[in-house]
Amino acid sequence: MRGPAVVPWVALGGATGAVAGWLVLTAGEALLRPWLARASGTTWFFLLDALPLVPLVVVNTLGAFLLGLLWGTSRAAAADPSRRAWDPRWVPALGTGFLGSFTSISLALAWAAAVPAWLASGGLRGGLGLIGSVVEVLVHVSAGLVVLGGMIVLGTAAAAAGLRTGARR
Amino acid sequence: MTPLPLVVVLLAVGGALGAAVRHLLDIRVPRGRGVLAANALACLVSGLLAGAGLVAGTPVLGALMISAGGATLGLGTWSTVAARAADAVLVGAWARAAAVWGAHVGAGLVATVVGGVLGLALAR
Repeated sequence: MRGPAVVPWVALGGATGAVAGWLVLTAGEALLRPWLARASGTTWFFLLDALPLVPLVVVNTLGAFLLGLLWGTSRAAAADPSRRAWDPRWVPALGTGFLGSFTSISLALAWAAAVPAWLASGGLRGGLGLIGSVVEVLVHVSAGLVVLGGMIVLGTAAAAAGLRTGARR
Repeated sequence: MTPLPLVVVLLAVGGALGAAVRHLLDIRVPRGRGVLAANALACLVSGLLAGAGLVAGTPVLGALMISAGGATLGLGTWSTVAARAADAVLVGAWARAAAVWGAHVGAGLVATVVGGVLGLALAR
């Protein structure tokens, strides 16, 4: 069901989804903090710089799966006359509202855009010589693109798994 | 520092508004580009907040920024883009799936950078 009539339900879902997403991201960051503090200054800077993104990857992948599941299940119910029809407010409230707001594309892209900005502001470790610095720049920019690409693949695969699972219900 | 219950309320208000605007854009913007517009707008605001920093000089400004953060959470969505791309992948339309992600990531990155530059300029 689409249209202005479901806006209050979408808004309700959006309110709870945004708070739920923020809580999970905040809790995840708090859990990771001791690991980040312990690991800083080691040679595995490539992987460690991507660690703070783990809670966001979890949130976005889980949200994609659940939305796929919701769409698949509701489509299967709509296509089967013997099944009870869903209340038309559920999909917009849960899908557009809650899951749409639970996940975040702006945080993922802000992180990907922040890597070059951080480099430009003098974030290189230094002391590696010209070739070492160029390699460090390439590794950091690549890290951003690889992680973003990985999130895209994970998200799409999770949503596809959800759609398929929902379609079988 | 803003008390946690107030942070939750502000995020909820922002999230509600953001999700409602995204839904209205989705049904009003032609050719299925409403969510794309919502994501680009969310990235612009997100970049603005990041550029300006989340340190605010007054409680009112701090509350507005937290609410704006909630609005970007509500306005932008990763799951809808992933589900639309997955719909394309499941029927073998890989190019369409790549185009979906390309449009959202491309527009979002540009909007984030523009927002960031604007935010830095405003913060000075």
